[in-house]
Amino acid sequence: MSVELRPMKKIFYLALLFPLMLVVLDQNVCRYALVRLPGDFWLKREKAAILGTLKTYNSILSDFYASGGVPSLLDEFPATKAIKHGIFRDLGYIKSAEKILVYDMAETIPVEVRITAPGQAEAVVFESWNYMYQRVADRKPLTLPKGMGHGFKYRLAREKGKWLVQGWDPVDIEEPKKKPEFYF
Amino acid sequence: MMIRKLLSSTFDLGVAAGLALPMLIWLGAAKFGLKLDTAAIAGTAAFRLYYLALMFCSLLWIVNALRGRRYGSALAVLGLLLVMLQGVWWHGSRFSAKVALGEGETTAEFHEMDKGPWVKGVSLPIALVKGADGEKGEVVLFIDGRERKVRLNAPFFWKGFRLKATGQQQAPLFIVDAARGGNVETAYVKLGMDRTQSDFFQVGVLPHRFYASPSLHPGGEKPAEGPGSINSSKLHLRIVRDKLIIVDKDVAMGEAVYFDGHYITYKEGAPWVEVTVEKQQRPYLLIPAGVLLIAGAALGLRKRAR
Repeated sequence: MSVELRPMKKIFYLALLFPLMLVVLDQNVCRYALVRLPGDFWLKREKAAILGTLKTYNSILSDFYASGGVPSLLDEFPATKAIKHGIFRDLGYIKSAEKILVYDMAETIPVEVRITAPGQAEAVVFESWNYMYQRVADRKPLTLPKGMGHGFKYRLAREKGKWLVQGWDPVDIEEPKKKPEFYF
Repeated sequence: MMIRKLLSSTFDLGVAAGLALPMLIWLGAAKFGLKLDTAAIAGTAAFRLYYLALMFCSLLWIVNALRGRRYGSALAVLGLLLVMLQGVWWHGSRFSAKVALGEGETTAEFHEMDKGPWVKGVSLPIALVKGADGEKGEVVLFIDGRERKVRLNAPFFWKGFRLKATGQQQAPLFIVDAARGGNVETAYVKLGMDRTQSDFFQVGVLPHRFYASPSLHPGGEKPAEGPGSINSSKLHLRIVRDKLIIVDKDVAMGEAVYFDGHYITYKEGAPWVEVTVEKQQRPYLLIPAGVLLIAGAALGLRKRAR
C-alpha cells in the first residue's frame, strides 16, 4: 500500500513546492496574479503602494528643486537612474541661469492606476503645482508665484521590492471633478 | 550500489508527474488567466528550475533504462528530452525587435527588443533607400549590399529573419537655435511611432522634452495612420521642462517658436518606415524526437508481445 502511495506523495510534495518557489523567487509574477484575483483587496494594496511612491517622488522632487540640487535624499528618491539624471540635468540648467525653481505641490488627484504586467504599472494623475523662480544668491523672488495643473502618466517598475518611477509623460486630461476612492 | 540506488530512485513516474504537472498547470493559468506571453512564463525562476530538474531526471532515467536493457523506454525518454531541449533552444535563441529606418539613414537601432540569453549582437545591414508613394506602395530597402523592393505590411525573409515594413510616416527636420545666435541641434525626428515608451526627443544639453505629434483636425480627431497621414505643414508641439509645460500649441512649418532663450522650427522631412524583425524558429529537434518516441513505443510493444 505504501509503495503505491509513494508516487502520489512525490507528486504532492513537488506540486506544493512549485507555488512556494513562485512566491519566493518570482514575487512580481505572484503580485500580478494576486491583483487579478476576484475582489480588489490586493489591487487596492498595490494601488496604495504605487500612489505612495508617487507622493514620495513628488515630495523629494520638490526638495531637490527648493535646495537648488542638494542630493541628500537621492537614495530615497524612488526613480530609476535615467530619471534622476534628467532631473539633475534640469537643476544644472536652472542653476546656470543663477535661479532656483521652487515647486510646491498643491494637489494630486489619481485618475487611473493599472498593473500592466508583472512588476510594471501605469498611473495617471492630475497634479496641481505652484511654482516661482528665486535668485540663487539671496533667494529673492524673480517671478510671482504661478499655478499649473496638468495630467501626468507615470510608468513604474517594481525593483527589489519597491516601486520606482521609470518614466512619465504629460497627458491631456480634464481635472477630475469627483475625487476617486484612493485619493490622497 | 549507491549510484544504482540513486539512479533508480531519482526518477520515476511520480517525480516526472510531480515536476511536469505544476509546470503545465502554471503554463495554462499564466497563459489564459494572466494573459502572460510564453517567454515571460518560461522566464520565471520556478518554471526554469523545474524544467531543468525534469531534464536532469530524464537523463538519469535514460542511463538507468540502458543499464537495465530497457531500450524502448530509453529511446522514448530520449525523444521527450529532445522535445524539452527544443523548448530550451527556442527560449534561449528567440529574437524579435523593431527598427525605425529613415530615408537615407545609414544606421538604425533596435527598439522593443525581446531576445533570449544566447542571442548576442544581432546586426541588420538594412537601410531605407526610398519611401513609398501611395497607401499600398513599395519601399526600396538596401539589404546586405543590394537594393530590394518591398511592399508595405508584406513579410519578407532574410537570413533566417522574418521582416515586415509596417507603415510609413514623416520625420520632420527640427532646428533648435539659441536666441543669442548659434545652432544647438538640427535633426530629423521620426514622428508617429506607436511605442509603449515615451515619444519625446531632446536636443543638445537642454533638459527640455519635445513632444511633437500630428495636429488635431478641426473636428478633434487625429489623422489616420498611413503614408502621408501626418499633416507635416502643422504639428502639435509641446515643450516640457520637468513638470512645467512651457509650450503647448499647434505650430506651422517654418514657424519659429520661442522657449527659454531658444527657438525651435521644423521643415519638410523625410519618410521613415518601421520594420519588425523576428527570428524564424525552426523545430530541428522535433523530427528526431518524434522518430525516437515512435521507435521507443514500438520496441516497448514488441517486448510486451514477446
